[in-house]
Amino acid sequence: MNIKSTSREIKVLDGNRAAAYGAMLCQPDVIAAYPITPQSEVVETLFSFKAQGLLNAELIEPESEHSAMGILRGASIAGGRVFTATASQGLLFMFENCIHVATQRSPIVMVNVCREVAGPHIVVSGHSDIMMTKGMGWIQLHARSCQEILDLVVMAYRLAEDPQIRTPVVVCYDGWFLSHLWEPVEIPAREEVRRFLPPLETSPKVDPETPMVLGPWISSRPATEYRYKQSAAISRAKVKFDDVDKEFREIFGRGYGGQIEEYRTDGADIVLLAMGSSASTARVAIDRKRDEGLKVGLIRIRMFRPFPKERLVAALRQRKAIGVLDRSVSFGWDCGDLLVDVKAALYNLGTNIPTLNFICGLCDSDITTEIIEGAIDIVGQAAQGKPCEEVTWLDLE
Amino acid sequence: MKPSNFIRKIRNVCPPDCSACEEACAKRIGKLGSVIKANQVRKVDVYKAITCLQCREPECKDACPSDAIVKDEENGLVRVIQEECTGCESCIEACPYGNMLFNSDTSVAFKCELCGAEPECVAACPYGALEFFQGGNIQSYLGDEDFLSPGTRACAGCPGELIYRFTQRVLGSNTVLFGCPGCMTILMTGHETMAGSRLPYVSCLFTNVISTMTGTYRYYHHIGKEANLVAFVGDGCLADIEFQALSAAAERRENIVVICYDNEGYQNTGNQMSSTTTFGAQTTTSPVGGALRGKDYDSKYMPLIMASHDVAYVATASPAYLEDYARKLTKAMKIKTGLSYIHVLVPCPTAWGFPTDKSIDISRLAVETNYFPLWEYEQEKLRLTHEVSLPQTIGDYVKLMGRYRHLNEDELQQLQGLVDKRFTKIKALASLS
Amino acid sequence: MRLKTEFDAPWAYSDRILVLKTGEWRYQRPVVIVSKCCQCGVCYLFCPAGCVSDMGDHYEANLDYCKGCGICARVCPANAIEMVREA
Repeated sequence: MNIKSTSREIKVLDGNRAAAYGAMLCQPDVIAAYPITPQSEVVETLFSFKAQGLLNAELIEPESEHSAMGILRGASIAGGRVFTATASQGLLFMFENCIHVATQRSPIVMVNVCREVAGPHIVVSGHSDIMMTKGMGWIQLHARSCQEILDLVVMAYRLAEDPQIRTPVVVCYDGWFLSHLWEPVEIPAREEVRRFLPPLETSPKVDPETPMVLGPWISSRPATEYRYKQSAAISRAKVKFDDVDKEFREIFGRGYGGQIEEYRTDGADIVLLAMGSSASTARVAIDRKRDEGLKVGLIRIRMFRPFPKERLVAALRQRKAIGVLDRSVSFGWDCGDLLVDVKAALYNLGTNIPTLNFICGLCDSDITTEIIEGAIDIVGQAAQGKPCEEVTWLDLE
Repeated sequence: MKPSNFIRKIRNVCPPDCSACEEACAKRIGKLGSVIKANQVRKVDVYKAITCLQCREPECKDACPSDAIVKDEENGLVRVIQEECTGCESCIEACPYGNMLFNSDTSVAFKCELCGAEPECVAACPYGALEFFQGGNIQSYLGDEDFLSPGTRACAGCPGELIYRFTQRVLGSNTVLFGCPGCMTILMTGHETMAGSRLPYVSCLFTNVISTMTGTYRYYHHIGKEANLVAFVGDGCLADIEFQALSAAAERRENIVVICYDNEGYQNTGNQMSSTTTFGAQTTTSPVGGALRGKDYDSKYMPLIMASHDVAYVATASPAYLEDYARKLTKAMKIKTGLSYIHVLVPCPTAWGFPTDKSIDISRLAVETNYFPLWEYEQEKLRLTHEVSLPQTIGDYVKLMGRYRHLNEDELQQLQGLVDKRFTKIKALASLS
Repeated sequence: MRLKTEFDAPWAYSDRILVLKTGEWRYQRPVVIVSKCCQCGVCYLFCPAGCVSDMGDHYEANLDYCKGCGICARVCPANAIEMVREA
C-alpha cells in the first residue's frame, strides 16, 4: 500500500477504510480506539497503516471506550491531534468523557458508525446511538457515501481546530449500509491535506513550562460563562462549515453544500428531509417522481448539530408540504428526533407548513426506493390540503 | 535548613527487665560507662530523644572554656575531644536536657556520639524500640520550593496533606499532577482563578484520571518531551471506580506514576465505605447499630494486586516513614519501563476517629503491627523495606481509633487473623525473591 | 453582555495560588520553649501545613496558617513545644 504524497489516487474502499484513510491523512498524534462492530475495521486499518510505516502516531487499544476518550482528552489538552472511532454501546460508554472534552473545548475528531443501542440486543444499523447522545456538545456531521466519509474526516479537523470553533466533531455514517459498502474513493494527496489543514496550535495547554490548572473549583457565574461560550462556539460552526466546504472544494475539487445539501429542490412543492445513507436512496425515488411530473426535491441534513436552522428555514419556507425521514424515535415525543428539531426551526415562520414524519430504517430495516416513494405520495396528499397522519411508522405498515 | 540526626524512642514496647541498649552502649564506650539508661528509655514517650540531640547551637560547646567540644558541620555530630577536657563540668550544667554525662573516674565529660553513625543501642534492641532518626536524609530528597499553598483546606493533622506537600517537593517543577474528586482535590484544584499549587494540575473526573494521564504521556512520548506525570488520587478512585482503567494502564506499561492515598473510604464525601476499608471498620455505609457491626468482610489489598500485574514498580509507604517514601518515590520517578504504583496509607483523623496529633502514631502503628507492611516490588522481586521485630497486635492499633470502638474479642481475633494471613503472603513472596 | 472569564474553558494560572488563613481554624496553638529547642527540624519535616520555619535560634509555626493539629508537639524529641488553648 502506498499513499502518494503529491498526487491523488482512486481506490475501492468501504466506509470504515475510507474513515481510516481520512484520519491517516490528517496525521493525528495519538489514536486510542476500542473495537466494536461495525467499526472494527477502522481500528484494524489504522493499526495496519502504522505497521506499514504510513502512520506515525501513538496507537493504543485501551480496555474500553471510556478510557479511549479519556486518553484522547489527555493528549488533546497537552496539544496533540487525536482520533478515535466507535459505535452504539461504545459511544454510550464514553459519553461522560465526550461531554467533558466538549466543555474543555478540545478539537477532537471521531467517527461514529451508527448502530442501534441495546436492547433489543441486535447488532444492526440505526440512528438511536447518535440521537440519544446528540446533546453532548459535539458537532455532528453525517455522510451518505464513502467518499464523503473520507472528506468529512478531513473537514472535521479543519472545523474542530478553527480558533473560532474549538469544538469536537463526530462524523457519522450508517453501520453496514455505509461502513461495509465498497465504493470508489478518491484519496487526496498528502500534500493537499497539509495545505488544507494548518498545524494544530493549542493554548493554554498542559505543560510544566507554562504551569496552569485545568479545572479549578469555580462558582456559578464563571461556570455559566463557560457554558455560554461553548454554546456560542458550536453555533458559529454552522457558517464556518459552509466556509470550510467551499475551501475544500477549491483544493480538492469536491463540495457538498455545507450544512445542508439540496437535490432538485428548484421549484419543488414537496421536500423530503433525510440524513445519512437513506438520502442516496431517496435521490432515486426523487428522480422517479420527478419523471412522473411531481415537483419534489430532497434536502439532506449534513450537519445535525449545531442544527442548521437558518439554511433549512430558508430552503423550506416556500414549500407546500415537508416529509421528514427519521431513522430513530424520540421517546416521549411520539415522533422521530429529526422531526422535533425541524418543527422547532419552522415555528417562527408562522406559516404552519404541513410537516409529516416517517419513521423508517430502524433496527436494520432497509429503506427502499419504494418505501420512499410511498412516503412522497403521502406528503403529496398533505400538499393538496388533505388531512394526514403526522407520524407514520413505515416499517410497520 | 539542616535537620539533625539523633536517637529517639519509637515504640512503647520495652519489657520491665530488658537493658540490652544500656549493655550494648557500655560495651562500646568502655570504661566511661553508657550514655543510655534502660530505665530512662522505659519511662519516656515515643518520639522523645534518648540521648544527645546533637543541637545545632550546642549550649555545651558555648559553655566549654577549653574548646573541647566541637560540632561537625558535615554530619552535625557534637563531639567531646577527651584530651582537651579539663573536667570542669560546665557543659554538664549547660545542657538543657541532661544529655551530657561526667565520668568521675577519668574526670571527663562524655556523651552520645552515635557510634560513628551506626548506633549500637538501636541495633541491640530486640524490640526495635529505638530509631536512629536522620532528618538530613529526609531533607536531602526535598527541593527548596514548597509548591503547595501554605493555607489549604485539609483537615488539621491530615497526613494526606503532609504526603502531598512532601511529594511535590520531591518531584520538582518538571511535573504535571493529575487528580480527581476526593480529599486532596480541595488542595490540588484551586478556586476561581487561583491554583492550589504552583505545579501544573489537571482536574479529572473520578473515572478518567488514568486515561487522561495516559493520553498526556503518549503525546509527550510522541513529541519526545519528558516530564513527571503523577496521579495523586484516593482509594475510592483507584481501588473502585477506576480500577479497570488502572489495571489496563498497568498492563500496557504506560510510563506514569500513580500514588494512591489510602484513607480507607470515601472521606471527602463523609466516610462511605470503599473496597480498602478494613474488616470491622465503621463507616456511614457500614454502620454500627443493633443489626450491623461495621464492615463485615475483608478489604482488597491493592498493592499486591498491582504487583500481580507485574508492573515496573510497586511500593507501600507510610507518612511516618518519610525517608522510605522519598526513596520509593524517587525510584518511581526514574522508572521508564512502565507504570509505577505507590500505595500510601493515610490515616484520617476526621473519619477514623482519633486526635489530630496522633496521625503519625497511627501511621507508624499500622506498620509496626504488620497490618500495613512496607515493601517494594520490582523486576519480579518483592522486598520488605522495613522489618518489624516482634510486631504489636492489631488490638494496639485498633484501640486508638473510634471507628473500631465496637469490636468485640471475636471480631478482633478475626481481624488479627486477616492481618496475619496477609502478612504471611507478603513474607512468603519476599522469601521467593 | 460583558464576559469576565479569560479563557474558553476553566483554566487558571498556577502562579496565582489560593492561600487561606487557616490559622483562624485552630483551638490550640504550639508554643515553643526557645531554650529547649535544639533546631533538629523534626517539627518542620512533619508539619502537614508546612508552616514551620527556621527562626535562627528555634523553629516556629506560622500562626497565619497553623491549624493547631499538635503533630509538632507530639514529634518534638526535646519536649520543646507545648500546645496551648486559644482564648
